[in-house]
Amino acid sequence: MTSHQHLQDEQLLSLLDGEVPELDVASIRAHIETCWTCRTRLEEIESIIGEYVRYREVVTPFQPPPPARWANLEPRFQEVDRSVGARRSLRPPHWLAIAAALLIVFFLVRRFETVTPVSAAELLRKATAAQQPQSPRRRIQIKTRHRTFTRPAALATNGDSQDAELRAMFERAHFDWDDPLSTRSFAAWRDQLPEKRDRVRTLGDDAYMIQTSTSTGELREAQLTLRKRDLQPTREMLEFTNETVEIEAVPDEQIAAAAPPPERGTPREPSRSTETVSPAHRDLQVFSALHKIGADLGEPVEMSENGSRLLVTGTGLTSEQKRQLEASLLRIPGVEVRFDDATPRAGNSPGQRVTPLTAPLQPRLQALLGSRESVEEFTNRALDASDAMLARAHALRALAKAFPGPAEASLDANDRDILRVMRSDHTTALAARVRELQTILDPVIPASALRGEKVESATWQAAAQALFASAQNLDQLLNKALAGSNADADDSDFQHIAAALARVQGQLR
Amino acid sequence: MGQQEHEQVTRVYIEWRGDVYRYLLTFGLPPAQAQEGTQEVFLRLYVALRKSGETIHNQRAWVFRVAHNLALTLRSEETAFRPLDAELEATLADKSRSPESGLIDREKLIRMQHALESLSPQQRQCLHLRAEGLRYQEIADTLGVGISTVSEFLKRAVTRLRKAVYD
Repeated sequence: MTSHQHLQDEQLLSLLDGEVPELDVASIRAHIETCWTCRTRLEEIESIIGEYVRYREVVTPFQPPPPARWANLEPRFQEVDRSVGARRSLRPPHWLAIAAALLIVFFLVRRFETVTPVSAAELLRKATAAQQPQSPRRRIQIKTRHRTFTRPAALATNGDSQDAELRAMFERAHFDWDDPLSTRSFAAWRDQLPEKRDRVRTLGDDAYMIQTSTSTGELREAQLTLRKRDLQPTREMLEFTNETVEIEAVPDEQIAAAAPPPERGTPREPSRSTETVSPAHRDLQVFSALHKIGADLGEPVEMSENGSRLLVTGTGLTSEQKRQLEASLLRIPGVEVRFDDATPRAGNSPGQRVTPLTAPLQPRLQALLGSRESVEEFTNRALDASDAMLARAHALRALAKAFPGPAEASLDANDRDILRVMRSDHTTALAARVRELQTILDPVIPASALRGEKVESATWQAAAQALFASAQNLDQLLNKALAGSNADADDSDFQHIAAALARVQGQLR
Repeated sequence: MGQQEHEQVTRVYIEWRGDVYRYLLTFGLPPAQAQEGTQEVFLRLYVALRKSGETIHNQRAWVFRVAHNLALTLRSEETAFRPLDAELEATLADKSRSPESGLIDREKLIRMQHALESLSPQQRQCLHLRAEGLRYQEIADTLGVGISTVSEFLKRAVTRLRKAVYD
């Protein structure tokens, strides 16, 4: 390429995208270095890409959110597993396997859209007949795009002024706001529609879902879930043109636990709505956001309750980390983000470690490993791996503390899934660090010395607590033996370390 | 058996479903259909992984390719591209309301929007998929075109955006 022949835009873009063939990269770069025109065009292309990315960031929050909760795919995965298992055990010829897989896809797609033969009208008629009168103690949880609150299922009075907007929206759609989670109200709305499409689906073994959509009015689609056992409505999704309202029955036992029974003579239920943005759901979103950007390991990000809000403080983060943190956290209601620009406290980052000149086990280690340099390298690697292990154990324990049994139980299936994936991420990484540590320690502590009993815990939370304690113990022993100044260290330290490592391994099994 | 695929697909489902959902929206699918389609895509990923012999080197590219093909079978022909909804347009037009604390140049956003509308659907999809992190070859596989076509589409898209925003 001669230096006065300008590059084409396509070449410049391909260069930025790393799509130029290896052979041409050098000559293109050489040209750009000498040619101001091409360099300017390259910068222009880069900057317009930046503009497009910013445009996408601004537009994304304005796109319609998914109308329903994301489905938990687990049951469908299990179905695939069952089919695959059956298929494998039969050992059919190859083409049959493919045909079977195609059939599975076919049936899954069909199931995805399972339409039961019963008609929506008939099911609604039966369910209305079966519906029990609303008990004054029955409560429902109402979730809109911006808030979540609980209230009595049926309102006797005209409710509270803060619900005025919702009430008005329901009234415009001819949907009864005073008793929204009922078959009668659903049927009344459906009956007055001039045009509608119905679908009845079976959800697992225990529920039906009636879905009615229309092209007229403010309420475009409604889904009512009925328990198969007694045809009582348990959940409802209402898709208005500018709002999504999700209504769920609060289980009776939760009401009993939350409120003492009303005194005799005053059976009046307060009709005031109470804001209850679920703290567990909010905390999970924060954990998940931090997890995605890898900010849940170590301590530069701290969380604290500030009244009803959750305050997330980041210390000594780079501007890119701050941007990521803000972008992912500020969309979560009830969360505040602050940055503290102080340099992170010393000792938080693994960094470079200085091996003391007189590590207590130095002579012993040197005898085993050969040279002083190899002892130094051994020490650094072992302590770094231990640091990384402890950070994971810490993150796992933080999840256990933030989501004890009851908090975890209050999460929906989707949230529990997210929690499960985070736990599994930490556990997998922790196990990898422990294996790494074992490999590093192998010359000193042979694998044969590690006989860890499998340790069972009643809950994963308890297991995480115990794991953290053992990991911390192991880390302390390693530090004491390899970098401490304990003069009377001896071979028994290796035995302690071996025992601690074996315990961690047993807990990970 | 299947535990590994199970964890893997659950993880990418949670991580990528928003991206896939938004990609399906660009085909003009209604939100409910885009959401169901997204779930379907991940279910197909699981089936593909559990099926003997299938190795997927780049799952993200695979997911977008399947989403693309699914969208083509689902969408109705006449649906138009609408990346902005009324709310954003109103926000942009109303100077007193600020999207993202006034840091964004509204004029620029509107020009960008119009420039995007003027692109062909394939050019737009190229741009979208590139922004989702796909390589040229992966975009080519998704759209069923050659790699040089992808390069050409992207160049045209970028040129048009540059003209609209800077000229």
